[in-house]
Amino acid sequence: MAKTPAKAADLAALRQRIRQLERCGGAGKAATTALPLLPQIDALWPEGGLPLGCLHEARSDGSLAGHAVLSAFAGSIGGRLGLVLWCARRSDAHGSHLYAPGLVQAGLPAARLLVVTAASDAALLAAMEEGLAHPFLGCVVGEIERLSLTASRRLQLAAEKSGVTAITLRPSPRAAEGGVAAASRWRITTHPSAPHAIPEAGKARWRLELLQARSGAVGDWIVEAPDAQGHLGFSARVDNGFAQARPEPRVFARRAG
Amino acid sequence: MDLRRRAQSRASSPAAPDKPFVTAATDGRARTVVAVNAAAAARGIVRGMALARARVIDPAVEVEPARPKAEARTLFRLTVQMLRYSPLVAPSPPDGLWIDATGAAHLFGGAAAMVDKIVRRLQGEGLTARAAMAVTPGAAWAWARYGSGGVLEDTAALNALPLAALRLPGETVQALRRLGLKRIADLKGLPRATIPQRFGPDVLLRLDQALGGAFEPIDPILPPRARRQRLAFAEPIATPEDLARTILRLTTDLCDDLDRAQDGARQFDLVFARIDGGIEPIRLRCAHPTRDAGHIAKLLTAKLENVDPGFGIEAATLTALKIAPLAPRQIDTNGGTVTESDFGALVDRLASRVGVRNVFRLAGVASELPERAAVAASPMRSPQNQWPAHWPRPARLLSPPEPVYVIALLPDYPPATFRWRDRSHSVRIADGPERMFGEWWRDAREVGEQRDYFRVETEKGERYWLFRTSRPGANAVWFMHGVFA
Repeated sequence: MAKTPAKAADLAALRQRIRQLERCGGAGKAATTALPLLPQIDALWPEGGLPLGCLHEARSDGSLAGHAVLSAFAGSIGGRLGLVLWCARRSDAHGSHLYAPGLVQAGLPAARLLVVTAASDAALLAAMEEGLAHPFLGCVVGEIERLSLTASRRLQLAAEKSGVTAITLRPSPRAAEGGVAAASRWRITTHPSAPHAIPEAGKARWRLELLQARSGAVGDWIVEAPDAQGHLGFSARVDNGFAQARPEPRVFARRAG
Repeated sequence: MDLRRRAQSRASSPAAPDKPFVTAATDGRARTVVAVNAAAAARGIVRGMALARARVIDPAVEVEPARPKAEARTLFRLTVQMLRYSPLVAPSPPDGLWIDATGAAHLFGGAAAMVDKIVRRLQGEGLTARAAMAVTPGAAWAWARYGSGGVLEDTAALNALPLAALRLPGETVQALRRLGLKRIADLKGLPRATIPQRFGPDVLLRLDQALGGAFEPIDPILPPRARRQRLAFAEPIATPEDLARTILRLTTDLCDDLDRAQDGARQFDLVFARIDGGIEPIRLRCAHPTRDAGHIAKLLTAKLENVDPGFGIEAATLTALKIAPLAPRQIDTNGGTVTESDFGALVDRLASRVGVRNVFRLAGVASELPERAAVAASPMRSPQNQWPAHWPRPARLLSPPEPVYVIALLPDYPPATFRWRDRSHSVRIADGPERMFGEWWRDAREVGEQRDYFRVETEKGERYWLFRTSRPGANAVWFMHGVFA
């Protein structure tokens, strides 16, 4: 899409105005408003990337593998934003816990991670809100089972006020599909890796579905899991359930899902 | 009823215990003995005696000049040490100290055991000490110096002690002796009303203080580097709003003090004194030294619900403990810096919601086994990445590892299919092994343990971390240890 420079400037001014209206005039971190994920995904957002200072939600298929994928997804985003407050339940739905050496390889260094374990969802939400009140944090992540519309709205308001990004992960198979006041909702699941020349596991791949976004965009992609800097790699776009091969010989198109 | 028990112990200067040893000071023209050790006392040398006379009694007596300032410092240091036994301690110059053991003795296994512990502790410092516990400070003073020491259950035992045990000046004791009054029992036999007229007001006061007829407060020392603010109210207060206002005022004053000294504190003790004599304490511990009044007041107010004001609260005291210098410093979060006190404030607030143990960072430990390589660490210290970057590690770990039923084509091969948590997985790609050994220096059961880790990808693209463990002479067993993203 080609734009003349004047049009682009007008658009940027309009977007700034809309942001100010949306955030009641005062955002904590006005300097950066979006985090680029992948060019193919960023094109869908008016901000030019994942909008910051609001609530995002990600769910998976309820399996432990899905939980690991969600952890790495939130870790890769949080590690690029700064200090991450990670709120988890003391007893996890799958009997597993965060493993820092693995998060480092998804782009979240140990120095940027502060963990809080709560006994209940209520205490976890309170800890998240507390974290969202501190603008020096980059991101607040919560692994939560039950999230009501009211609670998600509170998180969204707290995130808007301080400019800290909030991510709720719903790894539990019991996590209810309720209405959530999030700027974007994702579904992320594992996907078989691309065939490799030598018989060993290649780069892990995920199926990344953008179910809902404030801008109205939706999408469905196959991506490569984040590297140690937290950057995703693009693999294919899924249309009507079929992955569209990108024009490179080593990737092969296959049925997704 | 509140039975006030006070322990009184006496300490003298260290020296070889079997040699007579005294310290002497110049008193006018003569040099007099100030303190004696047990061996000198056994030979009849007493305090206040002229040094020349002491030398006549035992020419071999060792003499050192008294150093009142250094001794006072030592006494204060000992008094501070006694804070471990009770919060109310005071020096009793020149050679004693008070410990208000009210309500503290049961923590040390009873009164006798507590006295015993104190004496042994002082002996460990190389001091000769005697301690006594009694219902009044005066009785404890007398029993430690003139009685047999230990726990005095009944003040009637004081009757046989000389009048000097009542802390009376030497000339008063002399005057009483001339009248034939030598023991406390003699004084008790006189009509009360006549005693102040004949001997001055001190004698009756000291007698009453020893026997419990008059109250005697001790002037407790503050723990070193503690700061305190107190508010007393003309009318008792009870509503939560009033208590919250009190907290805010106390913390503001206290933090002003700390601010002037460029200090911060890690512990705050707030004590409400009720009009019925009870106390309602709140203790607050912080992750990082702080002097942010709003922060401290918020955390203290959050604990108000545990306070029962009863019929009203007449005074409130806020003490700052564990004081450390607090200059603004920065901690590195590896992506912009945050001042340590900002970060400490966040940690405190989280800890007050979920508990101190549940706020932590994940720090690396040099260990062979993956489950020991990352541990929970203090939130205030920024951990470094110490893990090898070239070996893939899972994002989530199962602890403990769970047994898996595995089918492999050959014993040494990676899994072809496995069954875990009631689901069958067929392996598409496998990578490994990565071999790890048990840490026999930590646990004898790990001698000879060996694990071969495989990274497997299933048909659905899920990636698991499985290991095969083998010990000498046993079959291989498979475990599931983690899941990759």
